[in-house]
Amino acid sequence: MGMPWIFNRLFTGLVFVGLFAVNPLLGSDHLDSPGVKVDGSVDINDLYAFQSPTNPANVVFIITVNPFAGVLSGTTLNPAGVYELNVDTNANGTADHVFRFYFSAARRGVQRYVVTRANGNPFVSGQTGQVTRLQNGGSVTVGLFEDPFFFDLNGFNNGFAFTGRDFFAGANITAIVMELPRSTFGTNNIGVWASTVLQGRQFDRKGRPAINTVLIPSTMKNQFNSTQPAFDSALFGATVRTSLLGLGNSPERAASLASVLLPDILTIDTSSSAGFLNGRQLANDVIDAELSLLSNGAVTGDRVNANDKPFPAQFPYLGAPN
Amino acid sequence: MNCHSILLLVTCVGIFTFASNRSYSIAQEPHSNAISDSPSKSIQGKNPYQVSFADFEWQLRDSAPLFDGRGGIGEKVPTEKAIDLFLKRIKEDPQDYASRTILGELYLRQATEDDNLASYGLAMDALRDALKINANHKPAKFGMAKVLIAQHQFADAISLLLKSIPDESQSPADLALIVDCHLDMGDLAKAKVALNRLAMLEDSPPIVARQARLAELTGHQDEAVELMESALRVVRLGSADPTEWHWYQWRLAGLAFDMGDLPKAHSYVQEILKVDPSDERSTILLAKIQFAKGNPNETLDLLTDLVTSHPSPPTLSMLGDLHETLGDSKSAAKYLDQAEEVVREEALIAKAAHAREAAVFFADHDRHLNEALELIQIDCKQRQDLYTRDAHAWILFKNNRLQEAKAKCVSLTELGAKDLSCLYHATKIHQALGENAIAKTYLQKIINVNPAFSIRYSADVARLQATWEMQPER
Repeated sequence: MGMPWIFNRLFTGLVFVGLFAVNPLLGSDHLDSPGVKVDGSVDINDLYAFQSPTNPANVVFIITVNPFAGVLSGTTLNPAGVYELNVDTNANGTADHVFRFYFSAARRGVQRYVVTRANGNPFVSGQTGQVTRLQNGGSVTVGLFEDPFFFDLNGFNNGFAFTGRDFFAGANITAIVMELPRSTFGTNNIGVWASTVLQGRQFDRKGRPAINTVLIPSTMKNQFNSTQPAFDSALFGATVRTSLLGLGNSPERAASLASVLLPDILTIDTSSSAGFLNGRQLANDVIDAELSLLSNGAVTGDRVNANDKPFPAQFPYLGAPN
Repeated sequence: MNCHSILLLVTCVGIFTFASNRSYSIAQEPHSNAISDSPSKSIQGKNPYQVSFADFEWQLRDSAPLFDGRGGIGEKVPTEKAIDLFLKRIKEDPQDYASRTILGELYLRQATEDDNLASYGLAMDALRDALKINANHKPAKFGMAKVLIAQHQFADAISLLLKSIPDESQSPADLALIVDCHLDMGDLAKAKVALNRLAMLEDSPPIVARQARLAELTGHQDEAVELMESALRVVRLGSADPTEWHWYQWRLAGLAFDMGDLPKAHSYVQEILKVDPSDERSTILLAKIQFAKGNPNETLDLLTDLVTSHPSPPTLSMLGDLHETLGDSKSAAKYLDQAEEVVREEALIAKAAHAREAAVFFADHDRHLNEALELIQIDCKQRQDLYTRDAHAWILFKNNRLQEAKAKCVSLTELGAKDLSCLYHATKIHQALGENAIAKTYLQKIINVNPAFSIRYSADVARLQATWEMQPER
């Protein structure tokens, strides 16, 4: 489950409101205005990118949304939203390949979708709950799955007093899963980030796990989410360095780390089957890795070392929903 | 039953299960929905963020077979099941304040879904428990603010919100609650300031609905309708589930009724009732529309049916009033007595949240007028909005304290000359004081818009109209 918004809501203060579309605020004589909700459907929880375990010629991308789908969030994708997978092939922080997902409204438990390329050409269409195989050997699916994220969230928020209890055990998310031939990008070394756009405005974005969550203060999170990675160093470099200093890093290490962590793009050598920091695999314990990295070894882990459910070996690699 | 199995039951069938059973799954039909690049099908040149699925739909018509409705997405975990899930999590880890906070939110949801007032208490308990473990947990404070609003403790809610969440950190959700508090407290200037900030952050239908409410309260009914219509358009675009449109349709129906546009009001409630024939508030509104159209028998049928499934104070009270209007005082007394019983029960559980409703019920039916005064004074401590001041004036009038009633009376300017109940109250207060010229100005507005706005008072409006020989102004 995703770091940015779920952290914001459950831990650092902002809140899930209006559990679903209409959350009347009672009172016998109220008009019961619908609640303003944090829209879980465009709230990116996590981004994964890894070499396909079933076909090393392919690379897999997974974007998850709807934290605690069905309980705190809905389970659908937003028909008014645009879901983007951005791929940078020349390390300049701008997208050279963009895959945009557009969804229909849900009818009878299904949403149809179209994916376009950056030039606006449709690339593939499908519907949730199905796997669509691409002619070039890739596959796409969108649906409800078990949440692959694992983390002792309460321990984190309790001054790193970790108990090893996975807060996200039993939770579901909605995921977009796309497996593409690595040759699509013309290079093995790519940078990836996901973004969601609602009503013409970028609502959220995600590269590496926890960058926004841990290193960007709450007052700047919205700004961070609405900007492009290419501007990260200029806009947020000083802020990230300050945060890293606060986590016990020396000025030199903070500067060095900031230059690696920004722009917030998940980099991967697709020719390698290695995991995080080379992309991010589902089973990677990114929390342990990041806690250790960001705290300069002062905090080594949350004692949750694996997901509560095993990951299937085949596409789409995510577990069935709880 | 563990968390996973609960969710398994209430969410969906595993996606793999049905994917593998479908003829268009990987094994059987590998290229089913793939479409090749083709300039003729693209959206080249268009802003990709102003494009939606509908722009592609024409070329997909024959491609994707529709899912048959098993599992899939769009389903939610029923609130009761979700509550069980989080109770179990808390049992496993009593220090899990995040789960306690979520539990509080779920109880709040249960209270609104089921009109179960006791759930507000459970919500508050869960949120308090969360804060005992982590006193700085802002989501718990936010949840508490929502419960306080539900209990009409607006000032406490707003104070909690402002103390917990500094201006620069306020999210649209925080601001929306602040707007709601100001609107309910009748502080429209502050509501406007907060609403302007909110609108800069987001322009979703719930926010547009609040703009409409502010427009309505400041007498700009036409603007309110325009805003609500635009909100409804966006909601329709975003959801194919018509039940998600109902609140917006119901609001539009109410606005149309208040403006005397009975056909439009009728059309909106019919749309709702076609999908959900058990929708209580739309049925109540339809009953009012039928009465205003001069169809008391249809009104009687609607309310008689409704009262068996929803014996709520508004339904019982309206049915009692209708029987009285139709000359059946025995039935009238029966339903009004039942209404009083339920009003008292609710007032006991919900305390201040139902004080105004109970007070107005007593005043309207000349029952327990001293108690009505006590109740409205409780409400006055929570808010001083237009409706509380109007109710206070009306109850003072019923207690024969005419000068005090006049002082509390909401003026025409404040009303934007639109709320017909308030106009009627003002008419009666000025008439009782012998100020017929002023009373006539109020009555004229009622006659112009909708003289049959109230089952209980329409006969009196007609009588006054005849006595004063007044006609609608065109």
